[in-house]
Order: sequence, then C-alpha cells, then structure tokens
Amino acid sequence: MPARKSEEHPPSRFLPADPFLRFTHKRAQPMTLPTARSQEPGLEMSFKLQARFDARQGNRRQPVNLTAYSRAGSDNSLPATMAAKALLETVHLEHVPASHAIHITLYRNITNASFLQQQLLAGNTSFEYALIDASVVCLSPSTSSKLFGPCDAPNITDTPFAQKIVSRLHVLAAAFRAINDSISGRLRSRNVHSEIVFSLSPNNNIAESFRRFGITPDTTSLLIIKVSTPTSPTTASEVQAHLDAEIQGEPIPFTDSELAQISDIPRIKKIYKLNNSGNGNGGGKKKEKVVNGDGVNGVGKLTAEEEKKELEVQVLGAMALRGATN
Amino acid sequence: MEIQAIPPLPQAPAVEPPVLSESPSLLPPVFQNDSSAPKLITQGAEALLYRSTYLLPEIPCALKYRPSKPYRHPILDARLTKHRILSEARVLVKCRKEGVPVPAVYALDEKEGWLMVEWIEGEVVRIKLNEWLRNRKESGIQEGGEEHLKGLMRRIGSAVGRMHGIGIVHGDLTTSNLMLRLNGISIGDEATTDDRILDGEVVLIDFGLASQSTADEDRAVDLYVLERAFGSTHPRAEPLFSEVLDAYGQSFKGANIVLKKLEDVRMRGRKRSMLG
Repeated sequence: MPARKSEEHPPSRFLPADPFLRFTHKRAQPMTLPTARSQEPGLEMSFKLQARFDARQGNRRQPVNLTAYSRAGSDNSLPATMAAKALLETVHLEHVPASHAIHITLYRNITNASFLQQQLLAGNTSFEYALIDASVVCLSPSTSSKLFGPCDAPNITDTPFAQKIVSRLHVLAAAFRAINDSISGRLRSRNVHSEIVFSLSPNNNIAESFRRFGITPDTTSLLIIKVSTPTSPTTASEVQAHLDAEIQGEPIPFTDSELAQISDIPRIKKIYKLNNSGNGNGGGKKKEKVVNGDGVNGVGKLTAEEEKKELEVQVLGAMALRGATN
Repeated sequence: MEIQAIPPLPQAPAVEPPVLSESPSLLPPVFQNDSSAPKLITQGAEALLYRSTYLLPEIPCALKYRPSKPYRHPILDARLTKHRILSEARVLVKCRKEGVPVPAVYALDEKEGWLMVEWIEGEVVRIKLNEWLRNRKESGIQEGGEEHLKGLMRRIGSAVGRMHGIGIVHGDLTTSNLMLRLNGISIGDEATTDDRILDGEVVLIDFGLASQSTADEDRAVDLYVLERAFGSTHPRAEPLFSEVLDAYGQSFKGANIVLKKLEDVRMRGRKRSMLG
C-alpha cells in the first residue's frame, strides 16, 4: 500500500527528465504574469483587462477585440513551439452508438489560445472541437473585483482562470448529454461540440456557459474533445494529426489526478450552487450532530477522496437537471 | 408545445421489433445500442427499474424508465412523464446536496422518460429485517439481543428526520424503500451472522411520490405510513418502532410537533376528513 502511494504522487512528478516538461503551470504561471506586467506596466495590462471585461459582459459582437490584445508579450518564458504529440484518448461511452466515438486530449501551456478561439468564432469547420478551458486560477476573486470595480453581476467573482473541471466523469457526462441530445435532435447550440461546453453548465444561459467553460484568449490549459459522428466520421489519427499541427502547447494525460491538481473546488461549488451543503448538519442544527456523533449512520466524517466523489456526483446531478422546467 | 409533442408518436412503431424479450416494454432508443441489454430488476405501477451502466462499463447505475401509457392521450402522457421524472430528480439532487443519504442523480431524459441514478450496493430493509427476524426465531432467541435492531431503527429515524428537516416528504415510506448500503469493509468476515445483517448506512430510495413540503401534516403521514408498513410487514419488529420516533424526534427542530401530529393521524388514518 505505501509503495503504491508513492507511485501515484512521486515528488519527482514536477521535475521530469525532459527539461521542457519542467514548465508545469504551477511553476510557470507565477513567472509569466509578473514578466508581462513588468515589461509594459500600464498599457499592456489595461488592454488585457478590457478584453477580459468584454468577455465577461458577453460582448461577443467584437471577436476581433477579444483576440487582438491577447497575450502580447506574455508567456515568453514558455517553450512556445513544442511540437509534442497529443496524448489522444478515444472513449466509447455506454449506451451511445459505436459510431459516436469521442476523442479527448488535455494540454497545458497553450500559447495560441486566441487563434483557436478565433477559429471557433469564425465558424471554421475544421476546428470543430469542444474547447474547454482548464486553466488554473490566476486572478483571485478579490483581486478581480478590485480591478473591475464593484459590480452587482452575479458572476463578478468569475475569474476567467479557474479550473472548473472536477474529474474525467464530469467531462464524460457532459459529452454523454450532448451526444444524447444530438441524436434525438434536441441540440440547443450550434453543434454537438458547443453543446458539450453548454452541457457543463448548470443553467440555460448558453453565452454564460461558453464564457465560463469555453476557451478564452488567455486560456493556458485546454481540454479538447472531438466527437466522431456518422455524418462526419473522424478517426483518432486524423484528430491527432490536426491537433499536432495546430495546437501550441504541452500535451498531458487526461487523468483524474492531473485534473484534481488544478481544479478550483470553491469556484466549482459556487458555479453549481453547492455551497449550502453542510455535510453532517444539513437541515438540523446542533442536535443532529449529536445523533451523528453516535455514529448511527456513519456519515459526517468524509475522507478527502470521499469528499471529492461527493462533489463529483453533486455536480453530475446539477448538470443533469439543467433545463428542467415545467 | 402541443404541436411539438405529437411527432414522437409515429416514431415509436418505427423502431426495430422487440428483441429484448425479457423486458415487457421496449427501452428508449439510446439503450438499444447496448451490447448487453440493461437487466430488469423490478417493476412498479408506473416505472420499470433496470440495472445498467453509466458512461463507463465499470460504473453501475439504476435506470428508472417510465414507459408511455397507451391509454393516455399522448400530450397528457408526455407532460405527466416529464413532470414526474423532473420532480423526482429535483428532490434527489436537493437531498444529496443537503447530506440526506439518497442515490445521486447521474443523468435523465424527461422526453424519453428515463432517469439514471447511482446504484446502491446492498439490500432493502424489508428483506434484511425479515432475514434477521427469521434467524432469531430459528435460533430460539425470545428476549434480548435487540441492540442491532434498535440501532437500525434509530438510523432509520434519523435518516427520515434529516429528509424532513430539509423540507422533503417521501410520500411512500416503506421498508422496501429503505436500503442498507453494503460497506466494502463489512462484507469481509462472517457477513451472515446476526450482528452483521442489519449493518450498513440507511439509504432512502424511490422518490417517485416525493414532494417538497414542510407541512407537519405531510411529515406525520410519512411517519404513519412507515409505522403501518412495519406493522404489516414485520409485526415482530413493531414494538421497537418507538426507537424510530425517538431518533426522529432528535433529528431536526420541529420534529416534536410532528410527533404530536402523528397521534392525530393515528386516530383518523392517512386521509384527512373532507367533511370540514
């Protein structure tokens, strides 16, 4: 047991032999922003903030503005043009027809996010992917509200850089819902790929779901999903070749442990409105705790693993209930 | 809305002829792609319950399917099915969020009429309790040794109280709608001894008749139905029902008012008099 544990979390994980791979975002992230700031203190930041502000307000009318200011000068400390092979994984979901295979891959240290987003906005069909932002937190909510000023919008603490993906299942569930809706002709957005991003959302606001979960010009970590459909069948090797040519970033395996390292639990709870979950004292107050103290039902004390599992299923429930009106 | 609701009707006969001979009615199209068909577990008046898988083959799930009723008008049928699927899912999600032990909701499709929830590994209280009572009878124990049963009753009371505390009433509380979750640890040694039979976390299932209510009357009726269920299915366990009520009384603020109300309900039965 101890031996296995050390396999899962080796201290050397962040220091692989390959020097390029040393630029994990945990290390790279703090370095990049200060350099961008120090180079052009005033102008550069204000442009970037304006772009982010537009993105928050949902100003999709000006895609050029969104991308024009992007990332100038930043990320110069990263290995920019790493032509590494995408770690593509093909999954066949249960109940979904065999013709609807999904190809998934995860990248970090993406340097051409604005280009990718532009392709999406332009409707370039060869870039028909679900592009899900998986970047780590960069601006804390308090910093964000300081910069943007007070705002009564509910998503004011919605920093553009919060990793909102809990686990593999979280993503697969979104894909399942999108494919199921697509098969039964109930897509709410443009195609099955945008529907995957929309499926991650707990509410019916499509623009907000793209803003929260979709790619932004500042995205550094990116989750890419391609659904192969009978009308446009796509093989893994085709996706692989296209991504290898177009994505500038460092491929990492799409695993729970990679996601868990960077997921921002408080943000996820906020988005899915799971904050009132008082595990152990739900409806009752102190009295109930006494009952639990007897150990009658064995709940109340959850390990970190169980807590994550619990968060995961609650997120799945919130996603499944999206659009429930009657 | 009404124009949209009609098209699915001609679609239904278009699907392939029934290949799933064991299932009484055809599953929705999504589940007909499966290499191994979902296994029918049980059938209620409204719904069929299958064991199936969620996303990956290694994740089991319970699939509750409400087939369309041919005797209902299609529009009404669609609306009722949608309403019932969604209200059950909402209640389950709320319970889960508030820490009430219920199965998690995985996925649903209200138009097709199915709901996928977590698979609870274990057995319903009715079977476990009968097994325990039978074992006791066979070994000739008349008195004493009721600690495990008392513990179970208390766990049931506190689980029900928790659910009521967050403003949910179950609507059909019986010992068949309470499960004992099998913990991986407890399977190990001598799982069949009397001590072990009643172990496990109490999980409330089947929220098909549940509703969101904080009325003491509704809560009291829930308890009354459970009491009657104990009386009719496990008469020998009924004397210990006071343990359920005792634990319930401690489980949330206002539980004692419900217990007082329960006495009224006992006097007149589940149905309120409509004479005014």
